Amino acid sequence: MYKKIIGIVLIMCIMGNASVVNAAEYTLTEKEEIYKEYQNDEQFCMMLQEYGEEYAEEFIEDVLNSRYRKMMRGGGGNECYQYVTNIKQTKTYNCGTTTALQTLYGLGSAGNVPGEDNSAKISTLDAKYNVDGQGHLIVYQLRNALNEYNKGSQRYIYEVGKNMTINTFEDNIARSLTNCKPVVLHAKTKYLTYYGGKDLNHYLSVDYINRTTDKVRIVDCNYNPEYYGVHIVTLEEAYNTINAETNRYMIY
Amino acid sequence: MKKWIYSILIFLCLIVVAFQWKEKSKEVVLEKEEFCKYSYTYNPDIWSNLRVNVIEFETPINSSCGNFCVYQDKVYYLVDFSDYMTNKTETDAKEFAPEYNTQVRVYDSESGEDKILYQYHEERCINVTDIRCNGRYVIWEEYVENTWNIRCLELEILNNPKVIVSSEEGSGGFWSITPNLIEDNLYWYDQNRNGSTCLKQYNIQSGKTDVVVEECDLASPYEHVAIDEGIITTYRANKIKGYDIVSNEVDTFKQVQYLSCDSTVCKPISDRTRCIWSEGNELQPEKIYSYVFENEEKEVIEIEDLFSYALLDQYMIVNSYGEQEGLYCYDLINKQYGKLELLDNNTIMLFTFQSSTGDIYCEIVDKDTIQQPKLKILHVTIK
Repeated sequence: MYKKIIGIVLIMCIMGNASVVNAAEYTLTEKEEIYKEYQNDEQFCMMLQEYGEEYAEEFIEDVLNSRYRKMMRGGGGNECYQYVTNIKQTKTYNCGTTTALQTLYGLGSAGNVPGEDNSAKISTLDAKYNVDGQGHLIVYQLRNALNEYNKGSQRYIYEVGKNMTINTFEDNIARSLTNCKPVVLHAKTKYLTYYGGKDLNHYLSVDYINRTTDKVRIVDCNYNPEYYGVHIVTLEEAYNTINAETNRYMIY
Repeated sequence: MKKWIYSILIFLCLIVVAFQWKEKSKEVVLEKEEFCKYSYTYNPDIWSNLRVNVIEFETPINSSCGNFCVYQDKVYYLVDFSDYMTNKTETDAKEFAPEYNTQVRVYDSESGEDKILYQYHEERCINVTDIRCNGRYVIWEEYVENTWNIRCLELEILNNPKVIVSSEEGSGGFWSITPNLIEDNLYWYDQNRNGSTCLKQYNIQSGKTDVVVEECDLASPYEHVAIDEGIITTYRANKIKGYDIVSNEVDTFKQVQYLSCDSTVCKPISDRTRCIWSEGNELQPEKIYSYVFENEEKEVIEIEDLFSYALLDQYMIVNSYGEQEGLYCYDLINKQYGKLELLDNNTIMLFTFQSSTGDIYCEIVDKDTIQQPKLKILHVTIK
């Protein structure tokens, strides 16, 4: 499989496709490393099945870009933020598309989603990703929605939380917010104080971090946002939502 | 003759008024500045006053479990296979089969026996949460499309569990509720027709639903109905300033305490001796306030990174995150506290639940190992 993906990259290089300018920055070994890291990942396998090899290759590029820019990043303070707009879910199971829309507002790109109002925009996303049929939005679909509708140059990737240390998690949030990208957590809610032990699979936005106090701001698209929408929680709580169990992801 | 009748009627009216006056408890006004910060002595042996038991057992392979409750020595829990079914990797595609239906199970920590109490007969995994047991009934919440239902299973009969309450029956806007079960009554926060939060009660015997508290406030839609030693505690914003905490007898709903606080109140719990509550400030170190009804002792305790807390007689059990991470016991009478040293540093303690018998229990998650298929629970009772 990897040979095919690399083959596509090489063909694209030969054809002089403009998008390969970035791709050429990375060696095959670097790409191979990322592929090995993701080849058994559940979301990666599903994404490959649905969107094909070329798309998977782009994903590998995005991961490399994300990591490369990490090294190049300079400055940044202890407080990083890229605020999102709190939106209420329209169905009990469409937290994924609602969080995607929240994030697109944070990116200044919500206008790219067809629909006259938020409810119509969420319906557009629900229909596009078969949320009614699946009962939820899948992680790789959420990443696709963010990249597809974002008018800026930022690209999103997903990474499984189980393998992440809390320091990496903190760095990833800070880096993503510094690059004007609000973060999405594919979370288990029982690790959050304000869920009071309720165990749900849920998508949440993270749009602020204070690295001195180790607090993050969670914007929850759950119903009744005037009471429950925005919460400041410890970095550790947020980290536990994606790290304590398997199959949970960070999209950044 | 008429005068005589009028006199009796007036006398009866006075008795009724006097009785009602006595029924409604006196309002106690509490000001934040009156609360003292006492010095607590560290005493790790404080836990020896309590019975602390770690219950650990394997759950069915490929299942996930995040919902359980403890009743005496038994753990009632819900397992589903939705995560496993979603994992449709190329090499490991899973087709739904009847054995992947959601299950209600019980584990007996005395005998080690683990068995299914009920398994759904659907063609997909049903999403379930919030199991509660009172020794006679087991109830849980299920989500089907855009509705929630509470199912009830009678343990002696183990019949087909009935839907006893459903969001389709004219419920408010809550898409999910957090039920509590005491004796034959189910309690949950819901919404009134006007959109305000109320406390509802459903009697399993009569099948009747009542709104028992009209106006409440919640810090979270998932807030548990606080019931301890037969006292049910709710709170609401005061129209002038601060919040009011109201404690009622769970059997009769007779009001037993009415505290009027000049500051923010969050998640109050009362028993027959005291009431504790937090301030709900996510940005500052959390403060837990305690008020003793008889001697009017007013106390405030500061906790860094508070996750959850519970009241167990004179002890307050606190689950803290951050640098002070761990489970702490505060003896509110003898002013001592101690950290539970039973567990290593690689564990996360989750929400401190209170059972229908007043015990405290919480899930323990091992950080460095894959949690499933295992359930590890800390169960704390009074000796």
